[in-house]
Amino acid sequence: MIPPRRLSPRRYAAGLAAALAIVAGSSCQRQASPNAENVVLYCSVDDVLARQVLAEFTQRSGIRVQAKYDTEAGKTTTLISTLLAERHRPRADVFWSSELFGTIRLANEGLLEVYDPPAAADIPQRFRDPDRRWTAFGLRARVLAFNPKKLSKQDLPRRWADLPAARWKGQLALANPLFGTTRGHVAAMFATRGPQAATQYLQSLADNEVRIADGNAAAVRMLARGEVLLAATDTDDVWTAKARGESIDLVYPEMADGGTLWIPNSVAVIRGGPNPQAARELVDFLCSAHVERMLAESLSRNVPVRPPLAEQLNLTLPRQCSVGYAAIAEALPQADAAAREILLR
Amino acid sequence: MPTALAYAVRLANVLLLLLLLAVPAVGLLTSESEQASAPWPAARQWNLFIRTVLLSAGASILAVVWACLVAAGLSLLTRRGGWWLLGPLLVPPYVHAYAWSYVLAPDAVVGRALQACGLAVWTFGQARTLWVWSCWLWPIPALLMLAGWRYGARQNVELAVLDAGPGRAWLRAGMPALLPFAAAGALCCFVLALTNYSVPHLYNVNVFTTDLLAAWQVGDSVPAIAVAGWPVILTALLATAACVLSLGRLGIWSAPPPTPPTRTLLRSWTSAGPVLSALIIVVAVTLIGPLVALVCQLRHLAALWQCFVGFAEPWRTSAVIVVPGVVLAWVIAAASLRRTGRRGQGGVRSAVVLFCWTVLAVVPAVVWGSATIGGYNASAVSQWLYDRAPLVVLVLGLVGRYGWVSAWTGWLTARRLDPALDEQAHLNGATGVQRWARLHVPSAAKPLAVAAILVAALAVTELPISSMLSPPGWQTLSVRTVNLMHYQRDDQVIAIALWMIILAIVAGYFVSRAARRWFE
Repeated sequence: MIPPRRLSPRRYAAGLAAALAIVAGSSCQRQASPNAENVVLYCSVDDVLARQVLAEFTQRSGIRVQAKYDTEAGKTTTLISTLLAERHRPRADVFWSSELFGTIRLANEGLLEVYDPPAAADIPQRFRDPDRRWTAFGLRARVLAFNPKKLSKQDLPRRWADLPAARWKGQLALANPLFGTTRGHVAAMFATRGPQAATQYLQSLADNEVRIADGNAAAVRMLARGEVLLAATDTDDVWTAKARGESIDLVYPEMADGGTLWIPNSVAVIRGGPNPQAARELVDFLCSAHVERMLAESLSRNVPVRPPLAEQLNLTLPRQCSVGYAAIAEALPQADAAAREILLR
Repeated sequence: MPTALAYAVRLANVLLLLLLLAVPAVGLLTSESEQASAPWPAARQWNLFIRTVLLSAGASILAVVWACLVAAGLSLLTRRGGWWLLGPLLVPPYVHAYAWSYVLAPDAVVGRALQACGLAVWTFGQARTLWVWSCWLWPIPALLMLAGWRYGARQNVELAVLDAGPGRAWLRAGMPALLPFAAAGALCCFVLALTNYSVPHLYNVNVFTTDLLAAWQVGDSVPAIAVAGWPVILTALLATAACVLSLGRLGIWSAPPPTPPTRTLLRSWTSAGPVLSALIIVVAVTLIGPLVALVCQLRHLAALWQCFVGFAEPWRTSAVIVVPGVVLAWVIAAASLRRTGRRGQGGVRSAVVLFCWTVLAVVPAVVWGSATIGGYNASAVSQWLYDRAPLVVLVLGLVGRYGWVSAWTGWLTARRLDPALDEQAHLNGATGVQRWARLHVPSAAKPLAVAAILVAALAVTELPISSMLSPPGWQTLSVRTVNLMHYQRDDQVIAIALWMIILAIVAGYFVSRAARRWFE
């Protein structure tokens, strides 16, 4: 039996009041300062990289960035879903995405503000929305990563279409095709090859026992651990692994038109965001050549979309896939449905 | 506790539950959906559901096997319960998964050995998921079996040990009495595995919960996802009901705890050999092995301190979650402590409240989280809360997820209070609120504290809800840790994981002290 114990009412009251005060105080803490000093960013770029860029922005402008990052595996798509849910009263000012297709979807849904950043004047038109709702920069290519100790470049498939060969059965790691750049890659296949051929291709990958990883970096990790021989991933994940001392290299397989799929970062101002002026300043900064240089010199080694800068940094591009980003974005729903049905069983 | 404060606590609990139910309900009802929601899952989803159920069931059975070995060892070797098992239970499942990915990697000793046997174990995502779930969950059935040990099983073994060795006595005489507890533990494990997201996600296994999340992320409407999630919700609720009823039939919920044992049942240390070995093997394989694998991967010890530098945001967020989390969990537990009848009989109201908390727990995180975001954005008032007090939204979300721990603790504790004292207070003219405030709550101070600490610890390590609801500038520790796992920042991940384990052990220690004193 439990003996009753008298506890001081004051202790209960004081404890409860103190805790409630902490809840209220801490939750309102960030909102107390004037909005002009803050900008809210939804960011699907690797947070390790983004934090360096944003710290410099804060240092230069005095504007504090409150960033919401997503988990690496669900990046972009989770933030886009959140932005859609908040559409009637947006909490975010700026969306900085590690890819472009989700941003195009947001633009089509009417969530993005028209803004033509002066800093983006020297960016080629291919990387700018004709209606000026988004700007793209900092390219990464879709590549095949491999372990040079186990394979030589001559052994590797030259085209993505060669991957279903018997030799690579169970030896290819691919990130979840519903998320991030892999999602765009699958959609690009639908845009270049047509739905029927692309669906057959996915089926042949499934038949060839492709290993689905929960992110590009996870696919590279599987390769580094020797679980697979090939990983379909982005250039930045390979450079990061290489810098860590992994035995890893890459090739640029060709899409159906013979080009390489390059996927840029994208940035946009959210329509109706609480801090429009600060948002524009942040977008100006992110589109600037300075940030492109930062991204190129980081571990991620993103290739600048500004040709002179790329040349200056000695970062050359294999020929780009000819299909437009808008066409890839249009193919997304079809590609999602097929990928979910075939690869994620 | 003054009567006014007592009313405030009870009112806060009602408002909290209403808010947690109403916001997602509004989100579901007001969602702009042109998508037809098919009430019957497609063939592909049924396949996933069957896979999920089989994996969860397999993990539950394996967890019970581990638990039997541990419970046998602890019940025979010690006089005290195994409350320390709460420590390992608080280690997040994704830390378990991460550690096991090292143990089973092709270049690791175990991975190489298995490969030599023809088992490329890293390709078996489903088997690894099942294994990691069992390693994470076995403390639950072990704790329940140790509780059951005091309700009859011990007496059986005490008699049997006169004629047989302790291992045989435990197996033949103790185990039959412990079977209902083992079954209840298995059902708990089953529900937790069924709704778990992080382990299959990290091992690239597509199960029902990960598929629902993918559906939301690629733009399926919230109502469509909610409708699609009914098989998991229904199965989890049925399993919970079966668990409660199975233990209720034994009279455990209202029986007073028996007198604690005064001696161990082992006649000598030589007879302790088998049970001691089993205990050591289970703890070493499921807990210490992965922990050692993590520590071995740590290249620089300095990383243990460096994970605080530049990580102010997630640690601060954790601290902010813990304080209100403890308070709200205490409020839920205290309010659930009500004895609805003078004899301590349960009432319809208590059952409804418990049912609501259980529903909040078993609804897949993506359904609850996305509906909550939609609900907060459905009206100007709720949007104000969402914008101006985003941490309140996060804390409410996490407490809503684990409020069931508090609610069930309060409900269970109410049945263990002394009815004579309650009756005496009633005869002396104390009202229901006065008895609750001045008798029940002070008497149950320890279990209320246990519930509060447990909920706070679980909330800090929660992944999907914190990923969806964390406001800008307030990244949570779990999201940062999982991201670092992806970025292959191994030292940082290991350092944070080790700190999480240390915190879990410390929290588990304090909980165990409080729980042991009260329950025993």
